[in-house]
Amino acid sequence: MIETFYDVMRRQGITRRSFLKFCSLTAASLGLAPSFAPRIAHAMETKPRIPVLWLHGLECTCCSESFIRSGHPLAKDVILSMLSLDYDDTIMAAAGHNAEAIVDEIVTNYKGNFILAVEGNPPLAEDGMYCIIGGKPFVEQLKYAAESCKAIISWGSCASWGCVQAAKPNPTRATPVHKVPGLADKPIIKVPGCPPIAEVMTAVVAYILTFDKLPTLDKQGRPQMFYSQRIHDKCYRRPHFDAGQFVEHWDDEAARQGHCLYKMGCKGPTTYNACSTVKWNEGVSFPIQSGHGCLGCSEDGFWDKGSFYERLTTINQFGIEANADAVGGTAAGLITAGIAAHAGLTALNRAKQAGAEQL
Amino acid sequence: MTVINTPNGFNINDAGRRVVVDPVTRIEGHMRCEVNIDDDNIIRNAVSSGTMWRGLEVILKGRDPRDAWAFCTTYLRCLYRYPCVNFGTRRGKCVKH
Ligand code: SF4
Ligand code: SF4
Repeated sequence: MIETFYDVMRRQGITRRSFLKFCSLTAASLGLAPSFAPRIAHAMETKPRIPVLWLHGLECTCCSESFIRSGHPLAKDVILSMLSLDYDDTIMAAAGHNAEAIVDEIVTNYKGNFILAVEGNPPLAEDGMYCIIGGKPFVEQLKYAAESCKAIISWGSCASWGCVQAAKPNPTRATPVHKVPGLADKPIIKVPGCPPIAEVMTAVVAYILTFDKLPTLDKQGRPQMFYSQRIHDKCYRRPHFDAGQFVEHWDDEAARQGHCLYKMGCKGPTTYNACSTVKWNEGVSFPIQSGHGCLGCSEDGFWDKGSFYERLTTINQFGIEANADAVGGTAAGLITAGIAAHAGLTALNRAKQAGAEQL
Repeated sequence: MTVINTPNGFNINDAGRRVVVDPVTRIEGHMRCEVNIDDDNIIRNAVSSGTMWRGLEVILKGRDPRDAWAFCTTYLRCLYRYPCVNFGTRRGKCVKH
């Protein structure tokens, strides 16, 4: 008998009650209406579990770190048992040739039916010698697994764009997954960020596993539901930007007042990610909230776009809308509330859209 | 017995029973360990090596020193914690860790 997600969860000691709670949480994090929860539940009770192969190339493991610390412990437990991460060399039990045997096993037993999650990227210089796994270049392992997978998830900025090891002069010729020559032509979902937000990662996995299809992707191949909003547009310091109130030194009065960090190098205006809404550590805060600008870590080439502390020169500092929106710091609360309501609405619309697609 | 001297002063040989663990799992990054075990089950030679190199030392040259942290912390973020989680909690309450 083929195991379903639900079987796996029960085996892991997850109660039915927690399972249903997880289904509604997943619906919420995907921006779906609560009525989707039973559908997710049904899918999980009836669908066979999809194995996941999680490979590591040149990386710092911050994606795994983020993932296993996803805000909601329940979501994390469930997702981890769903994936059961048949292979993930950071957390798997087997080592050495036993570990490598698992790769072969998945590739043979689940041909065309497993998800290949890639964290980090392969170096191509010197025939891939800068990253060796089991005595062979990582790029070979990657190509081998990609050959028979169903789809590839590029976790984080390394796999999606290259990240810091691809920064000039890119000594190892670190290459993002979609640019690896000779890689099998499989759908690639990019989930950039250094690391990506845990809730975003779990939601992406849950979406693929429950709906058995890939989330809607934007032009750059990122799931639209999380990468369609600009940090700057949802930033709670935006009223200060519009009012021309900027922090000029880390310790000036404006910094204490929580004014806009644009002049301190904030890359929020050119960065698309969910940080200003989903935030980090169970929604506690995010860098701008604690007084440091956004590095733009989820954007292609963020590592070679000048200093992180140099102000952006590529945006119109004061557009026409700046005048209309120019409000004092006192109105900030109001504006933020407005933004939150707006976000709620778009989530709902998105749910409707997604619903329509499902049927 | 074949002996290979590595550039950093170690030697790898095929004496006794040779045990190779590659990849070493449940660690951050990539690692290989080799040991030689004699007839009394005693380890006579052991060599471990990190099997990944990204060249961040090279990449850092000529950059704004203020940016260095964002590159260097990627050596091992498991330990250092990753930037936006750090920044995100500096003034917030530290939920874990
Ligand atoms: S520049 Fe940065 S701090 Fe200022 S409003 Fe935009 S995202 Fe927020
Ligand atoms: S706030 Fe900016 S630098 Fe930080 S994780 Fe989000 S996109 Fe990346």
